[in-house]
Amino acid sequence: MKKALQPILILLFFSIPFSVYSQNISIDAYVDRNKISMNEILKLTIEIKSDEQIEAEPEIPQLTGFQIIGQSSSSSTSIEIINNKMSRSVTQSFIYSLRPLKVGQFTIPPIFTKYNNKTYRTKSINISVVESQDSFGNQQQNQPRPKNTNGVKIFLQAQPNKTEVYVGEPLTVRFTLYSNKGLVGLNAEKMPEFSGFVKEETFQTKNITHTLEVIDGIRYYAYRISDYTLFPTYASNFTLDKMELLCAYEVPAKSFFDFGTTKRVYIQSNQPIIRVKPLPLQNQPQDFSGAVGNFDVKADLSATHVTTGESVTLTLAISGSGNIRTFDTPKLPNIHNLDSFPPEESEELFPPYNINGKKVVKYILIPEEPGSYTFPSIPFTFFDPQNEKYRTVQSKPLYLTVEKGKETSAGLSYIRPQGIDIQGSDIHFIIRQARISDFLLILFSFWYWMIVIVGLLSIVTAIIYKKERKKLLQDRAYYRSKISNKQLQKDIMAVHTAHKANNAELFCVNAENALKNYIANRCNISAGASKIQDILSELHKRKVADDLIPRIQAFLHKTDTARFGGVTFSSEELDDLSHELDEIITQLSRTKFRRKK
Amino acid sequence: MKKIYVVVLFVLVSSTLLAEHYDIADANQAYQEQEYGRALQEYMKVADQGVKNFVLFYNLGNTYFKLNNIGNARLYYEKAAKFEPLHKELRENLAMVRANLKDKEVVEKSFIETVLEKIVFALSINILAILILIIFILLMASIVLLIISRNHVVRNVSKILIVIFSCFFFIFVVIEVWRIRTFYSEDQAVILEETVLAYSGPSRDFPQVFTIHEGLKVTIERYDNDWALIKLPSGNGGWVMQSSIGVI
Repeated sequence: MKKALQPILILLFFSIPFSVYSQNISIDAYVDRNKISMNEILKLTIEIKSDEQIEAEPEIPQLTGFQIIGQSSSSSTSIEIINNKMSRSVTQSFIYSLRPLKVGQFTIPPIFTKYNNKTYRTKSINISVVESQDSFGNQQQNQPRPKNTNGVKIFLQAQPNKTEVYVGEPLTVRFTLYSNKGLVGLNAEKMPEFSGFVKEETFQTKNITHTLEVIDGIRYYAYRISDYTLFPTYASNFTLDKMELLCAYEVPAKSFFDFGTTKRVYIQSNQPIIRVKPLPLQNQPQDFSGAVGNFDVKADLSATHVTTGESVTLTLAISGSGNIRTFDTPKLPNIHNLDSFPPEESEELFPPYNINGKKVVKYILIPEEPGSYTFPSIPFTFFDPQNEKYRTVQSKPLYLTVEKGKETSAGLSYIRPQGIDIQGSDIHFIIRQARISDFLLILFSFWYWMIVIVGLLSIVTAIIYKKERKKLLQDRAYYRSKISNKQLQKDIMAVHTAHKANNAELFCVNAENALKNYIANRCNISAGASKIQDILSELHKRKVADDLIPRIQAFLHKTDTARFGGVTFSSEELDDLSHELDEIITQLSRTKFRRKK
Repeated sequence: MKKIYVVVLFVLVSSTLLAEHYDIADANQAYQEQEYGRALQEYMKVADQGVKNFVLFYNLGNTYFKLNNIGNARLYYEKAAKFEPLHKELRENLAMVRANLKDKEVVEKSFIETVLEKIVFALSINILAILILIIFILLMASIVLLIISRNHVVRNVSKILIVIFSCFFFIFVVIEVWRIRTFYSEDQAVILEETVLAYSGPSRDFPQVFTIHEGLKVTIERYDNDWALIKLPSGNGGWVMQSSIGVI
């Protein structure tokens, strides 16, 4: 019994502590609106989120100015798998219907819940109760006005990270669309131009995804639309361009026969005012490059020992945060006996706002004479907006030792790297084919299917051929009847040769052989050993025309007599005999030689 | 084997001889001289006769692109793609058209889909048909050999060949059927007007459901008088006027 309980105890040992200490609990409270009239009902929702199902209930304090007239609760579980890690979250929602008791400003105090001797609390929510609902006229000027149609609140907010900047100092603006209802479609109608700024779009939404945010106690779906980094070009008070969006949301079905519709709302963003201050002219250094931000400069040589004619690269890296794209790079001081090419510049900017990064300048130098060269410190001056003053940073001095190299043509020792100048792109040129024909599907042509039929017929032919060959091998009578025609042709040739030669004896021998062989083959009897009587009696057994047998008998008798009786034939008689043989053979060929029953 | 070549050649030659030829040299010359309006007129003279040809559709797509008519450029490129879907220059031109669309299309294909597409669309319909015929002839020859041969080695070899050719024959026939079905299907269309409003029913009285722009490729679900029910790549459906779309 103890042994049986052991694994269970071990499991309990591991599972209990985790279930107690691995809980991640949070509590949120939000209302469906923060301004209501006396005749409306406020919906207060309290959500307790945890990794597992827990028994916790919110403790509702005394609510000044409201009366709880209804309460309901629900629970939902969601499982997410991100990077093969499964996370589970249980949400318990407690919904309270509150009726306002009087006009005024009220605060729903923090709501508590206790679990495992720990207390979790929500933020307080301010509610304004008015006699009758009015518009959102008391919103701040640079705050967006939420559109409120059928209880759906949507607004597009432009959020700059700063409202006061210097010329050249980057600022970021984020456009976020807030809606208390899930959206099904977004279409950009007008994007901001930001005149007076060099703009860089650092983010643009591709999919309609959202996060949840609670603003003024109301929970909104927040859609991040786009982020811009702006670099002011001159000093002035700018009102930022507005963004215009067309949003679509679904209106659920209200009855069985209502299938629900998609409503569209036209939304404009707020227009924050940005004050762009001029850079101070007092104490502005002469070598000021236009850089605004906070930077550091570093210089480095690709080699410290080279020979004459050999190239060496001096890399100057200016890193930090600010208007990296727009400032001028410092000039390299002229050093005697050191040939240099125009520098190559590259920028590396880091997301999300492309403000942080570095500008790298590469100077390719070729020492012409041996000796020791010293690169003095390279100063870089920028305006620091935080401290509101100009600052100069310097790289460390560098040293290069050059020895005399092999006598080479200076031009050949180094090939200047040069990128290909790409000026634009276009579609590929047309296909220059002067004559074209209408498309014809070969599959539908007559010849295609003729070949297919011939292919199928070849199989039928092969089967017939195989059967025929099998029959020829197995059935001797059939074989002999098949070869009878061939032998007959051969024999008849011999007869005609003798006839042409007017050789009566040979004619008679060949004619008799031809006839006897043909009959023997067709009747499947031995020709050589057969006498005339045997052949005739065999013919009597078969279904042969009655008048034919006496003719055969007479013909064979004539030839036999001529051969052994020494009778000779004139050429006319030979012609008659030949004719008679042809007729007999013709009639025999039409005969089927079936046995009589 | 020589006989097979002769047969294939005969089929090709007979088909080419039967097809009527059309001259587009003037249109090409007009395009070369950057007179795109005249080039369009010349190409359309041939296209209006109902001629279906890859080169004609490709060149028409180019001409419309040069005339800044993105909708028709996309339409004719897509028509050309029915003949040679993997034509490199056509695909690149199509990508350039897509880059100019107001409604962004997200084309996400899995590795398997890409490989399958390359296999299915590697050859043109006619080349595939000839290949099927050659495999069929070889299959028939192998069957005949199996029937008539008395040599064991020959019979065994022909059995293996029959299995191999049958597999290839089946695969190619399936691909060809798929290709012909795609070629003759008219369920795809391109939006030709700059901005098109889609409604929830075949009339302007119904609520608007979405707005789409010139050049977007959509699927046609069905027609109702002058209206067509279209489906967007995202799955949303709506009714638009038939005149605002061009069937591929």
